[in-house]
Amino acid sequence: MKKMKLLYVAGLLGVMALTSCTDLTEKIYSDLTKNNYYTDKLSVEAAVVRSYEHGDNVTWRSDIWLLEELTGDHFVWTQKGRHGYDDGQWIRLHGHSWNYIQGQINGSWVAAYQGVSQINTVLRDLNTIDLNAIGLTESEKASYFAELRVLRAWYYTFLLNFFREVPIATEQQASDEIVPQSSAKEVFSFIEKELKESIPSLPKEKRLSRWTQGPAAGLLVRLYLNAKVWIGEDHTTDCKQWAQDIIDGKYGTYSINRSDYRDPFRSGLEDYQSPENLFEFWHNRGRLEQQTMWSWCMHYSAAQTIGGTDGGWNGIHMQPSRDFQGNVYKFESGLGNPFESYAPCDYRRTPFRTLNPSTGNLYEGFFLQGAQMVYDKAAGYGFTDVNVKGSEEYNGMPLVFVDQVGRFSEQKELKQKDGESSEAYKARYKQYMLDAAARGNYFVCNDPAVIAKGSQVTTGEENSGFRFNKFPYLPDHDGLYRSQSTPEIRLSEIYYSLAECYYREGNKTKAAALLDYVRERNYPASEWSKYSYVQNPELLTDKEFIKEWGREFIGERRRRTDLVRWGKFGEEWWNKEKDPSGKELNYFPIPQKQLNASPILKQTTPGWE
Amino acid sequence: MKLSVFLFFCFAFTMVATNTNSQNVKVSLNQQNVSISAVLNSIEKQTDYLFFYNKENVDVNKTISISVNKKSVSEVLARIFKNQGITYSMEGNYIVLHKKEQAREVISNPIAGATPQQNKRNLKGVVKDALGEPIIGANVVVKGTTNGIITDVDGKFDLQDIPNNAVISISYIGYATQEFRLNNEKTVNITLVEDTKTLQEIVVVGYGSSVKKDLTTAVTSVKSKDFLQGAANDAMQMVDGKVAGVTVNSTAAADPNATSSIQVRGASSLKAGNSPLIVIDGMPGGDLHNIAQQDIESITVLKDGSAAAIYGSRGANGVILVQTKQGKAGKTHITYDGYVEHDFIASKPDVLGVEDYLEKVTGAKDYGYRTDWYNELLNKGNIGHNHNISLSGGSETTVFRISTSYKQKEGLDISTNRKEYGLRGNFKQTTLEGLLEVGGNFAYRVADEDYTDYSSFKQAIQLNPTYSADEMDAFKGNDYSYNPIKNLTERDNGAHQEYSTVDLNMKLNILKNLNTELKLGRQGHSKKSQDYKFSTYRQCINNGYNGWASENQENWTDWTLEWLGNYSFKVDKHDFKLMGGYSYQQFDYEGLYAENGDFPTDVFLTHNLGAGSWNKQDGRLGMSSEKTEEKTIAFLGRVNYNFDDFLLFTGSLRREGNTKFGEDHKWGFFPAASAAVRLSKLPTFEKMSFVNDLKARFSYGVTGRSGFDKYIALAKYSGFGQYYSDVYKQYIMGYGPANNPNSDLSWEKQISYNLGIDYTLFDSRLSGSLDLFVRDGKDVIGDYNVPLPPYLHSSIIANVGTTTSKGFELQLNWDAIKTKDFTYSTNANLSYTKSKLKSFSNNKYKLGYIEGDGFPSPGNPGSAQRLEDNKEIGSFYGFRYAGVDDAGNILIWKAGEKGGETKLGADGDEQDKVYLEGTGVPKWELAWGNTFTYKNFDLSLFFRGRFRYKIMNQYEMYYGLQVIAGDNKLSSAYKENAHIKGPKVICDYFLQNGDYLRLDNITFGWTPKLNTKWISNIRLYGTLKNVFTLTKYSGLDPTSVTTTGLWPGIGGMEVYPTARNFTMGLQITY
Repeated sequence: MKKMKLLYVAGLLGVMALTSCTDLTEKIYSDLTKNNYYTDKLSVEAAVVRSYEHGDNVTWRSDIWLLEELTGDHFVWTQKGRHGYDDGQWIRLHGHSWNYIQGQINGSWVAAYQGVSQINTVLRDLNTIDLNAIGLTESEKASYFAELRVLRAWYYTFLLNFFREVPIATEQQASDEIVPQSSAKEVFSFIEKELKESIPSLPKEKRLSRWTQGPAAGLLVRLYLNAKVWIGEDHTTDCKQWAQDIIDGKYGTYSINRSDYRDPFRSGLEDYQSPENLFEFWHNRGRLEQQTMWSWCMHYSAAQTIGGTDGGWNGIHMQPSRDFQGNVYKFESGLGNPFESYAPCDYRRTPFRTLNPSTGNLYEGFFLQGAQMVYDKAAGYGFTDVNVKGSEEYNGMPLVFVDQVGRFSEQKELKQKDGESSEAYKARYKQYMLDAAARGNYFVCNDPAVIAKGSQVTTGEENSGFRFNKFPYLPDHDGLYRSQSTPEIRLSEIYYSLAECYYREGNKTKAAALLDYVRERNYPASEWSKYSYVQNPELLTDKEFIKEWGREFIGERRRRTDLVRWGKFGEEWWNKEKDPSGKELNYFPIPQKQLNASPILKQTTPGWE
Repeated sequence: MKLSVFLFFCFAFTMVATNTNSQNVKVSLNQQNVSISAVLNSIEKQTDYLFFYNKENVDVNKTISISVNKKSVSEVLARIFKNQGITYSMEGNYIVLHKKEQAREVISNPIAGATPQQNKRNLKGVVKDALGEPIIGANVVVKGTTNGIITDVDGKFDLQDIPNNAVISISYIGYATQEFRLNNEKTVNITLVEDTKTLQEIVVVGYGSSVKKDLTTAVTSVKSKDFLQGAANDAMQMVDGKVAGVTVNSTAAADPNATSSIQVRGASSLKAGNSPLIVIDGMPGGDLHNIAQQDIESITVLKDGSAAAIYGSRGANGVILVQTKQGKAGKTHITYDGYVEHDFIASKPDVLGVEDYLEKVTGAKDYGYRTDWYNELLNKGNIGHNHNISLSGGSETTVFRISTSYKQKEGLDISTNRKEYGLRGNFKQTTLEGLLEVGGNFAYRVADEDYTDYSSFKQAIQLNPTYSADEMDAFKGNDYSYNPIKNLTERDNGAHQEYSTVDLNMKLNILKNLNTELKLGRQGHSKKSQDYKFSTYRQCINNGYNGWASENQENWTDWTLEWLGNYSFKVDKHDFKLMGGYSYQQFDYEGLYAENGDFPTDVFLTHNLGAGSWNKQDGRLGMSSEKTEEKTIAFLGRVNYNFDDFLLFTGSLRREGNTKFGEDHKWGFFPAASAAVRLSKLPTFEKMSFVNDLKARFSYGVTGRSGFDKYIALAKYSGFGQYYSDVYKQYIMGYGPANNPNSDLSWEKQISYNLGIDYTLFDSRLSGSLDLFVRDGKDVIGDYNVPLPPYLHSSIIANVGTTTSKGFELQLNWDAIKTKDFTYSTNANLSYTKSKLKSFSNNKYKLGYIEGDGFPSPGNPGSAQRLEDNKEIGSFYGFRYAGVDDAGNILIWKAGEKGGETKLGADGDEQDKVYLEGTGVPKWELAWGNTFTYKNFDLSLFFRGRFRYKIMNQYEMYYGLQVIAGDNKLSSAYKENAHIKGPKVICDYFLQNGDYLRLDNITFGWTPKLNTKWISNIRLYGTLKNVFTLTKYSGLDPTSVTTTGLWPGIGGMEVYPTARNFTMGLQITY
């Protein structure tokens, strides 16, 4: 009967539904999963470079850089009127009054351990996948292991430097095994062991953007140089040995171009590779761009000056060297005044500008100073005679970076006078700005109300401070823009480290020679005799040595470490008092977020428990 | 066995007869010496009627001869059974034959028995509805007997053999039954009035429907006639306030492109979504955008977990069932329903005038112009209109309805516009003698949207009012200040959206009480977003782009297959209904994005992406694409039990799987049970004449959530950034672990308890319900911080934590006055909800708390809220205001201890933050509707309010302080807040009472009676929305503040202008 037939059909449909329509496998289209990721050698290489790319990102344009540089005596992120207060976090970094929820402290922990976990994941994968199936040889695997272990050791140097007692996680553990903290000494030894074991398996000569013997040895130099502060052990002998071996070419051929002060920083531009850079993050416009200082340091209008795209956030600038009247500060500690610590003849002090490429150089100078001019797009280099205008305190007026911090725009002098026409007022105001530029890029202010507000992290203006452009941002053509390398380890560091070892041993002569070898390129030959340490041994004092570290390595993510090693981190400088006692400030507290997230992590930084 | 006999037995068990039928069918017969059964067969063939009889009582083998031409069935039957002692009664399509002395139903009416069988007489009459339309097929019976007849096409009847003093009963489905005692009338005119008694209302529930009075769960249904009138930008605005416990947040009510967020009974999920499941005409996962408001028949909300549990994994946030209007048998109706509308600006920010600005604001500069930025952004001549024409009708076997609509609405600002047009149709065909029912819906809708940018409304407040309205140069290179007008005019940002639904239902009525139903559906949504920034747009100027274009094409396709079976039976007074089924849904998503810049001209807009040169530079890649898929599969079952209408029970179970969960955790169980006792059947209440119906119910249900991202249980490898590979001598994409995989990810469950009372009192004039509920969230899916190492990412999406919501809801409807010309009815909804996070950690994951969203630039002063164990959702966390110092800087109480030490707000640290009084979730919500009718006029007033909550007023904090130099401000900066000279600090000074009461809707309507056959119904109305608001909140509009979700009660700055809307509408039906 038809009823029965229909029932039968319905029943059949039901059975089909029950058996065939219960499949819930998640179908994936635009991503890969662990199970189908490793298919060939390229996929292994891609997993390996991801770990490097992360490293560039998190150490040079993220919290690790901020912690190293904004706590020192070179840079500051001032509040500029309505901008830049940002919950007081910059004030806290500058004044050494951070708390355990400070974002950059947690961010640095996260950044480093993400790198560690990426590497551990890849290493575990390499240990488990069928190498034959993807055509990877055992020796290729060993080589990947060696470089990734160095990369991981590099991350651990940040962790040791910032936190001391941290967990040592490796590929040996299960992927969700929570490891307890190790002592600083254990972390130190782990890094040392990893580097020493890996170096023999690494290629001797430099590879672009990859760890090889030279930079890995350089990491050991870093480790030994700081051993005294990090673990209380003296490793000067080790440090000297490794540094000397590197200089002697035992771990690859490197040299210092002594005729161009720009050499290590212009690496990457027009495919130039500096022989000085043991390890550099290689950049290319549109691929992996060098963006480190752009957003933080550049004014909103930077695209007009540089000839690039996008504006910066107008945050970080060099700490001011001058007070309200334009006098250079003098701090008891001898620290601070980053710009004025360069001799007037020092090439690096030259105001930054792009040059006609026919001169053989693309640019000169490390800092944006004074009146900012509009980039000459027609010429492809240099500036037009049009002033870039301010848009905040100096809205519509020429933008003139001054080596000062204060609320200068609030001076009585800059108010419209009774009876003064709008045109006359504007003209007078404009002249005032241009005068400041002509004077040497500072105001002379005697308005007591403005002075009373002080020169502080909170009293910046849009034109406060000189801007850092040592890693040169160049116009956006011919692939110049954001294509400069970031040197992670350069030979100069090895020279300076070796010099420091000798200096501390009392061998000033040897130290002076090593430093001079690197420094000489920054000075005109005619002036060199005045600044050479060899020729003027009396110049090379403790204060000078730490200052010289600063001159050479400004912005290279090591100022805090150098100050700590020299015992100067607690000293005073611009808008900073001597550090209070009671809490350990030479390194950071274990971040609260991590303490919350882990059942076994303990606060081990003294004074923060 | 003969079908008719077979059916008879089924019928005897079920006694369900709901179909309506008219008796106007005529038959012709010419049969000699055949059995009665053969004659009955012939009648069955010629008509839709089916005969039922018991062979024991009715001798159908008797031979007869009959010859009739086009006679009514009743006439024919009268001839067949003449003098045989057989009588019949009609039950819809069924004709039941029985012996004359054997009453089919025992009806305890003394009249029937007591009246002697003499003095019989006839009664003729006409039955009409309130509009004067004849009612075809109404039952006219002598009460207590089986003597009855059905009205003909003209509504006429002629009832014979009526004993004296008999009571005549006239009934028709959907109309109130009328009874009267027959005196000496020979003819009568009966007007049946539509039965509006809520008791008989059919309410859709998940996978079926129920009579409202038999509900055992908290379900609220709003019919179209009760919708809020006037223009609505989306369907949920029409029921906002009509359902206690449902919060509709229309934070930008006047923006036609904005949609409301809906929340049922408080927020309780962290990551898996808090919005309810929308089911349109039985199709789960529907999109409210694909519906014209005039096509909606009812909106039903399944509030408690037990009602929603049949929808399993998506039911935890409540389920909203939308029924569209369907065709009805009978006359074909053409209806026009449309309106025109206009938005007036309801409240503007009170900013300083130019003179005050120049005089008072530090750093104010006069650039010579006078521009009222806010005013310039408004489109004061805005107009909107909405038209809907529908055609519906059908016959006994086929019903259909098709409608088409057009809607256009200009926003209250200069760049918003929306055009919408669509088509919707449905049909239902019954065939194979009622064995098979085939129905379907199709809907297609297109929306063209022009977007605005809310940041312009914020900029308009802070921007120096002395710039020219055309100024652009002064803002070059500046992201903070820009021209808010040009920000809208120099950009062409919009989308073209298409929605389509096709579904087909096939229902096989295998037996009267056994059917199976197959539903197949496809719901499609495509969205093409186009954004062109002219070379004169600020970002193009700042970055030196000659125009910037992007297009984003997205497609969502949902495939649905559902197969259900229903079976019902009755044993004595025990009534059972069983339902079982299978559901399969697949959700596909595809996206394709492309962008380019630097065009030779602005003329192309986004239509010639290849013409731009930006992408031509090496290394640039202005495109991306994506595809994802998700499936849910479920087996479901439900049993309804009804004992004598006294005890009702419903139990259901859904076993559901979803692809997104960890490999061994894909399936979950969602049981539910509910029971109700009809207290009004207890002797105590039966004696109380004012009690019509009183029912107590209790329910328990488990529902789930799965509204979180796909692929998070898997270990994904994703491309991050390019890096130079010296092995391959080129940049290659680095691939690495994209997430912390969680193969243990399993169902988030919500366990709900509901205790309720439904009451209908005083001749059904007072009715409503009271519900108490508890909802516990378990294994709540959230983003949990995990230790690094060993994890790679800072958080993992995992099942940790519990939440809880408690509250009650009271609904009340009262027909207060009912006279011939004047009626007044009122209804009120009151609800109370309290939600908190019970715990947020376990052994593996220890988060402690989650911080709310940080406040925006300038200043980025942090967040004002925090969620922590045992804290109410929406709790504010910050400093306690302790006045100001001599310089006008905000002081706070150290460690939050009032009366203790004070310190500068700027120096405040974590130790000084405390939980502030109040939360951002209104504890109480009230809606109060009043309807008056006088003759042909009606007037309704609808009030709405939210009470006991706080709003952190960002508006005041950012614009009501003097400190930011150069920017314009609210005048409060120099009035109420004049003492504060320093920067803002997140503290309770800015925490305001959010309570408000609003006259939300006044509608005046006129429904004249026209004596024309061309118009059966006409109605004209005018509506004014947002008439006035009583509140202490100093921001623009308390309703623009989100009160749903996890971070409610932040009075943000990017607020769309608030409107007072006027609508004139017309409805005509032929």
